[in-house]
Amino acid sequence: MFKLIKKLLLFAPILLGMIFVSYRVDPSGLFWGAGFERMASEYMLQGIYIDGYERLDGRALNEVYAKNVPQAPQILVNGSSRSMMIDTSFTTGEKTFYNAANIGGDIYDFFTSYYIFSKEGKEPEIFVMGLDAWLFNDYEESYDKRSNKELYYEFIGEELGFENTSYVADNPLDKYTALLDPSYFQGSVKYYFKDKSTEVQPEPVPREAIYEQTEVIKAPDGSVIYDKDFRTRPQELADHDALLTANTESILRLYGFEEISPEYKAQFEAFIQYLQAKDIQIIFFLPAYHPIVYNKITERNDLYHCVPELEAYLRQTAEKYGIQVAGSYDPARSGLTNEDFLDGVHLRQDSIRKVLPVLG
Amino acid sequence: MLFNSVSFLIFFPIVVMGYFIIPEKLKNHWLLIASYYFYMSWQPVYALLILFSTVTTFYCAVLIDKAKNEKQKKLFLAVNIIVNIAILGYFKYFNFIVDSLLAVFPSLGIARNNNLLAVVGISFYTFQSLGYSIDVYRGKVEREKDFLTYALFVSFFPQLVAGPIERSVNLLPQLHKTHKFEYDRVTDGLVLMAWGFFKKLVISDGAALIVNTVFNDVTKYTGIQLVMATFLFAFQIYCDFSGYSDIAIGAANVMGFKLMRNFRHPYFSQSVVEFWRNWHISLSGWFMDYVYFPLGGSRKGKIRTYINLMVTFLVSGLWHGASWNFVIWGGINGLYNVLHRVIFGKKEAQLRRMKKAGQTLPKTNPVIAAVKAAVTFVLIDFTWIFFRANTLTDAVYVLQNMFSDVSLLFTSGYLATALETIGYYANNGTAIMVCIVLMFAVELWEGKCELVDRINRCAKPVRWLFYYAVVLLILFFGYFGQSQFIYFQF
Repeated sequence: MFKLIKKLLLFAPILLGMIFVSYRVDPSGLFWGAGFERMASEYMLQGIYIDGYERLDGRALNEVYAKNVPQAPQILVNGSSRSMMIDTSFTTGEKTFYNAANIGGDIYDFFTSYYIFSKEGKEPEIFVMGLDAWLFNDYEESYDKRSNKELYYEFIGEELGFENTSYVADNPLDKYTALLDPSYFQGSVKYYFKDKSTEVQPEPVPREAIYEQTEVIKAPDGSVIYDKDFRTRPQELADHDALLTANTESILRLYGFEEISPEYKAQFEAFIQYLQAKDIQIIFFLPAYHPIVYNKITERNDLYHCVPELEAYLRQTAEKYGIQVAGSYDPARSGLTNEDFLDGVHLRQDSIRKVLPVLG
Repeated sequence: MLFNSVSFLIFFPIVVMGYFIIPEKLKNHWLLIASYYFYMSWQPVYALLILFSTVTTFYCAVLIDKAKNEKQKKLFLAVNIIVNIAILGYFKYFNFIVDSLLAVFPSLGIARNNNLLAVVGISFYTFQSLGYSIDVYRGKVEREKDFLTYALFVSFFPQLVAGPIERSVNLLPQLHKTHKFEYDRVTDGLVLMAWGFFKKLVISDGAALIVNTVFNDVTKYTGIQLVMATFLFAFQIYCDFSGYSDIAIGAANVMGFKLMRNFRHPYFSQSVVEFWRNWHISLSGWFMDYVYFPLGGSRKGKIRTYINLMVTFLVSGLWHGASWNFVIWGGINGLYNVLHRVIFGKKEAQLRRMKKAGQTLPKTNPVIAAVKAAVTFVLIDFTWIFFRANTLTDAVYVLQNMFSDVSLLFTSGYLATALETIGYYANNGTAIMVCIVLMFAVELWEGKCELVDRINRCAKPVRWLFYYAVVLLILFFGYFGQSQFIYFQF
C-alpha cells in the first residue's frame, strides 16, 4: 500500500503545476480580481492616472484595490459620483487617502465600500460618508444593479448583527476549490495564451495631461477627474441640465421616497456605533442639489418631503454621536449658487472645497 | 454516480480501502452495500427493481436446480425469463409500444405513461440475470447457494450500469475467492482506468460537444458539417463505451476481479462481421449464446442462418433503445452480416478449414488490410447515423445532405467557416483529432495483448512517459462537465 502511495506521489508535480498555473493566471479573478480592474489597480498603486473609466467596474476595482493596497488608507470616502471628486488635495497631505465612492452608489455600496477594506484588516482613521438622500429610500428604483447585495447582507448580518434570512454565508474556502478544478486550469491556460492585443486595457495618462483629457480619468487615489468638456461647459448648459433634472417625473432616485426607511436608519446608526467603537472619526458629507433642483424639492413637498426630513434626521444623528456635518442638500444653506454646479446634482470640485473641511 | 464525477473519486478509494481492510468473510457484504449505494445514488427506488429481479432469478435458479424433470426446469426458466423481460419491457418499451400502436391505430384507447422511470442499467443487469438462469438450466454453471453472493454478482458496481455483461461462469467463482492487496494488480487496474478516462473525457466528451451541436439541430447544417459530426460520432460512441468498459474493468481489477474484455480494436476490423466480434463483445457473445444459437444458428441451412442473423441483430437494435432508429440500425447491421455471408461465406469457410487443419493462412497485404478497415469503418459509420439521429426524419436529412457541398469544399475559406460553425475550433477539434490518432497508435502498439501487459513490458521511463502523457492529456484537453455515458440509457 505504501509503495502505491509513494508512486502516486510522483504525480504530485502535475497537481502542483496545475494549482500554480490556476492561481497565477486566475482567469476569473478569484484571487487577483478581474483582468481590467486588476491592471487598473496595479497602475493606481504605482501612482499612475488611467483612462478607460467607462469600462471600469468601480466596485470590482475597489475590491481589488482593497486587497492589494499595502496599508489601510487613513482617510476613506464613500458615496456616489457626487462625492467622487474629493481627492487627496482635500487633505493635509499627512495621511493616506482613498475615494471608494461608486457611480450610482446605493445603500448596499454605502456599507460595502467600507467593508471591503475592513475585511482586509485595513481600517481608516477618518471616514467621510457621502450621504445621498436616496440611500434611505427603500423604493426599488433607488438601488443600483451593480452593487453587491450579498456582501451587504454579510456585513449587516455578521458585523452589525442584523438578522437576514436571505443571506447565506459564503464558505471562504470555496474559491480555493477552483485550484483543484481541471476546468479552471484549462481556462487559465487558454487565457494565458489568448491574444490579448484586442482586449481593452486601461492606459496610463501622463500627470501633466490629466486635465486636458476628453474622457473621464481615474486618479490613483480613487477619485475621478471629469473630462475637460464637462468641467469647462458653459454655465447655461449646467443650468439647463438642472432644469431638466428638476422637471423630470422624479428627481434622481427619489421616486417613491415616501418614508425614511426605518430599517436603513437602524442599520445606519448601528454602523455609526460600530465605527466609533473602532475609534474611526466620521464626517457626514451632504452633497447639495443645484438651486433649481432644490427649489423643485421644496415646491413639491408631496413628492420630496423626505429630503429635508432626512437632512434634519442626519443633523440630529450627527449631534447625538458628535459627528461633524459638511454641506447640506440645500445649496443656500452652504452659500452655493448656480455657478457651483456642473449639472443638476454634481458640484464642481472647488465648490465641494467650500463645504468640506480639510481632512486629516 | 458517474465514474467521471467527484463523488466517484471519493467513493472508489473508500470502497477499495475498506475492501482490503475488513475481514475476509465481510468483504462481499461490503461490496454489496457499496454497489447498492452506487446504484441508489441515481434514484433510491432503483434498488427495489434490481432487488426484485435478483430475488426472482435467485429462487427460480434454486427451483430449476431442484426440479425433478426437464418439464419443470423449463417451466421455472420460462417464469424467470417472463418476469425479467416483463420488468424490462414495462420500464423500457411500454411507451415505445404504445406510441407505435397509436401511430397505426390512433383510436385504440391506450395512453403512454409519462411518469415511467428511466431505469439506468436495467438492460445490463436483466441480461446478466437471464444469462445466469439459462446457464443454470443448461448445467453450465452450478447455481449459487448464497443469496448475498448472487446479489453481488448482479449488482457488482463497476459493471452494473453499462457492462461488461458478465457471465456467471466467469464472475461467480471470483466472488468466492480471497482477494488481497497486490501492488501490480492494483496499478494495472489504475492504468486501465486512466486510459478509460482519457478516452471518455478527452475524445468522447470533446467530440460530443461538436456532434451534439449538429445532431440536435441537423437542419441547420449541411455537407461537410454533417460528415464531420457523423465521423466524430463514431469515436464519441467508441470512446464513451470502451472508455466506460476500461474504467469498469480497471476498477474491478484494483479489487482483484477480472472482468471480460469488451472491445478489441473494433475500428481495425476488416469486415463488418469481424467488427461485431470486437465491439461490445460481452453483448455480442450474449446474443450469440442466448438468441442466435437457440434459434438454430447456422446449423439449419442458409436461409434460416440469414433469418437468425437478422432476428438477432434486430433484437440487438431494440435492446439498445426503444425507438425505430435503433431497430433500423440493428436491421442494417444484420443485413451487412447476411450479405457478408452471401459474398464471402465460401471463402471464409475455406479459411476456417485451413486453420483447423493447421495450414498457414495467406497473409493479407497491409495496404489491402487498411483499405478493408477503412471500408468497414465507412459502413459502420453509416449505421451510426441512425443510432445517433434524434428522429428517423433527422437521419434521412443527414443522408440526403451529407454531400451537398462537395463542389464548394475547395472554395477558399469554405471549409474553415463550415467547421467553425459547428464549434470545431472552439471545442478543440484539432486536439481531439490528434488524440484519436494517438489512441489508434496505442491500439496498434498493443497488438494482440492487453494494454497493461504491453505497458508492463516496457522500460520504466517509457511506462512513466505513458502515464504522464495520459494524465496531462486529460488535464489539458479533458471535458469535466460530467456528461453521462451514452450506454447508461440502454
